[in-house]
Amino acid sequence: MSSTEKEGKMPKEKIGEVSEETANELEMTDEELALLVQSGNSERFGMLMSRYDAKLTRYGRRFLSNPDNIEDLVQDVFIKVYKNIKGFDATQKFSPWIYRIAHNTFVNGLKKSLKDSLHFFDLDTLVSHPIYEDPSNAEREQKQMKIMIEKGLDQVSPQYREIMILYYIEGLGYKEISDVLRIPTGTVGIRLKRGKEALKKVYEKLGLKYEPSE
Amino acid sequence: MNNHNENHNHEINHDTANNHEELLKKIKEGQISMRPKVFFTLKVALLCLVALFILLISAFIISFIFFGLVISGRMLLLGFGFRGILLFILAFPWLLFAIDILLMASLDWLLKKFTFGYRSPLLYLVVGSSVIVIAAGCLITTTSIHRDILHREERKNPMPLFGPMLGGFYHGLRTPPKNQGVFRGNVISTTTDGFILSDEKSDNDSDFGIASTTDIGIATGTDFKPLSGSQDLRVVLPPEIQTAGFIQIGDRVFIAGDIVGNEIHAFGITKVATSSDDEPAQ
Repeated sequence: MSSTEKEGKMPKEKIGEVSEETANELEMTDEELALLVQSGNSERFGMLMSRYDAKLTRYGRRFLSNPDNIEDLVQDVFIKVYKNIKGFDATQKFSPWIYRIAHNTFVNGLKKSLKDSLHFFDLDTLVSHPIYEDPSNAEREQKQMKIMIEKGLDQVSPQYREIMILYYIEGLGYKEISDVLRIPTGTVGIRLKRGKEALKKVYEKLGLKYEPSE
Repeated sequence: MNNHNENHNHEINHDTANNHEELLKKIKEGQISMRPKVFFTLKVALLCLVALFILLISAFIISFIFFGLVISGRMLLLGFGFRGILLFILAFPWLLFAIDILLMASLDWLLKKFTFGYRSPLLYLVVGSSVIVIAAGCLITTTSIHRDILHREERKNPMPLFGPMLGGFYHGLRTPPKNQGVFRGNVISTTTDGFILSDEKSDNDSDFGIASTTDIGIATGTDFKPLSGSQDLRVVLPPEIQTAGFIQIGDRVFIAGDIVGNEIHAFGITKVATSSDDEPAQ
């Protein structure tokens, strides 16, 4: 995932293809757009939806084991986002905020179909863990991990699945994931580590070659 | 195959665009509207208020438990060896303590809603909030609030507002658990193996000159029956405590022992202050 994409902007090479006004709009960060929506410029909400539709759909598809109604759920997410946008603090990053709403919506969707994914209490959140600096931060390695996750993710426990999606596929940082899942940052690191271990076991079980970026 | 995928993607994009347009239309028509900023401000304010309220209630209960243990003399049981500690455990207000634990748990649950709350490991949050609650409880204990409520309750003059509701909790708070062999009173005479304990004005508060009557008697099972005719109780001290001059007439004492007939066979005894029955004076 490129840095421009991470900041919620459109790549510059694509901006040249559109009008100047739209180009300005495309240059805006998610937070700036959210601020405009907060001040009543609801047209800009369309831009936010365009930016996040694919991301949230992708997130939801991997999160939910039966994503038949994913479009409805994503639509629900946008409705909630619009209704609650005045509760967003524009000095903070927009992506963890919208992913948090998406997470809650998907969990509710999941409650209807699955019970095993819901953990009321997690020992990992009990004590402090040193933040596990994943060596696969480099983009090439991230891509490699992404491909591996695509293959074995379905068989990884939901507890680790979501965190791996957010980190390796959606490109969120530890702090952002901590805000989405409302868990300590150290727990994010430890879960990612365990998720990778779980993925390794899945690979062994499937007889596939596990080549993580370690 | 590629054509099929392109068509599929095109359909998805078309559906997505339709969904967005539909949503924007609903927004324009006012079918979907934003919650006002004040809603979120009030929500946070309410959350803070509820958390503060729970913290205060929890701290108040902690201080009340401590006050109750001190004023009834149960705290002194801790100095009576293993049996004393056992009695202390039996006489501890566990229900109140459990309620307080529940309140602290709900406080932690509320704190988890704040950024600092969910970013902290649960153990740190629980320890941190417990320390704050206990510190606030200690602070409340240093005030005269419990004593005031107790005195008003004893004078049947409850405090305004919450007084009538709170008063019930203070009723009989001074009384030690007599049916478990725990007594407090004044030494009216000494005997060869102990002394005679009078309880007639033992649970008073000299500051207010209140003379609350308490029953001295013997335990039969769990019921406690007052002795007929006399309010006095014969206390037999174990040989190791029967040191000359330790107990003198007029002393105010706190004892724990076994009830045998009309006697108390004490295993623990300590002098308490004569001016106020709240503090031990060893």
